[in-house]
Amino acid sequence: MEKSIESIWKKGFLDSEALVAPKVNNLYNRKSKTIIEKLNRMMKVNIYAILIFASLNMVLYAVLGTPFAGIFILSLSMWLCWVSVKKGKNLKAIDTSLNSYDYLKAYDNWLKTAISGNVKMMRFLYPLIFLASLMPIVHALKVGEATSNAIANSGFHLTYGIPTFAWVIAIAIAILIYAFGGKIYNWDLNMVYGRVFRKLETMIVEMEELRN
Amino acid sequence: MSSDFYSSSILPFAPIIIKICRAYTNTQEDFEDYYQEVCLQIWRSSDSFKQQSEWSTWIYRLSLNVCMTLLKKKKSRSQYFASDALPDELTEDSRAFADESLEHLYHAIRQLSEVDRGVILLYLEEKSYQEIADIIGTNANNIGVRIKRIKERLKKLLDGKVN
Repeated sequence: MEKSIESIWKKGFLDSEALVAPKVNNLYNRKSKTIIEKLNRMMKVNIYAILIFASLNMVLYAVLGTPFAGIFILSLSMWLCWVSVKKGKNLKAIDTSLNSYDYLKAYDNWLKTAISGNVKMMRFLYPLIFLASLMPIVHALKVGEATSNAIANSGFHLTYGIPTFAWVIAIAIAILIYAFGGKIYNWDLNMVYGRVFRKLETMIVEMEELRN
Repeated sequence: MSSDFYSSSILPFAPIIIKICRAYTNTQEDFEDYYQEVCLQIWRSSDSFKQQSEWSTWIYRLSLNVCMTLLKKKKSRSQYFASDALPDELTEDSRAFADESLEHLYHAIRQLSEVDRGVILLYLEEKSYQEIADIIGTNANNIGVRIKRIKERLKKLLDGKVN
């Protein structure tokens, strides 16, 4: 006689073995590995993206007539990537045999140290990149016949063929960027890694609750 | 998660969670992951439980939501990783129920869509059409027709396997 699905269901679950609950453990071990792998992967992608962007930027700047500004930005980016790779090597010093909580905490500490170091570095890098990125504009103003004549006849005091007040404004902006460099970096960081950082934080908080 | 909470609020309902998780997973490893994730979500969300429904109904809803989300995530990941790309119904089930008929039935259930799996599980758990509609978030009038269609599909899938 053909069994109905209802009777198969009822009869099947009469066997208590069918409903043995697995132990609630090990989940965080798997999760912590996944989240750290994800962060490392994202950092790697970020480094490649910076290098590719800076290289393309250098080509663009060469076309615009300011190859040295392009090379300067590329050099700064390469230095930034080199520092990141060097810091990444310190990650290997974290003992992977630690339990999930200690491993996540060690990773979090490494991350915080790396970020605070980067904040100091980026406060200098942002203004320098900003000033270098103005060079194609300066070059275009100086090379263009109409613009260079207009500037020369404007009556403003000139420094390297550009009104001095424009240099002052550019330097003032660079100083502001330096002052807010930390905030800009954190905003930038949050845009790229924010979600994963929050996940990592939540995970640590949950694990702390589990330990209590 | 305190062991008190687990043993008093989750463990009595473990059979529900197990039945649901089994319908959405093919391997023991996935099953354990899904089960633990459901338990974790119950613990995390327990504060938001408003006693408008029974605790068991709430657990059904939450378990189904978690399993469907995890399965969707897994499917979207498989689009990028070819090694994971076999559809669920084609991957070998690494577990087996002692009852062969139940094993075949679960195999057939896993070939249904995510929502249909939820509907048939709730039906087999003897939930009323209204309860099923509340848990799934649909209209009770459509549930009867849907269950009839799912049962026909299951019958076809089981045809030749269960006598």
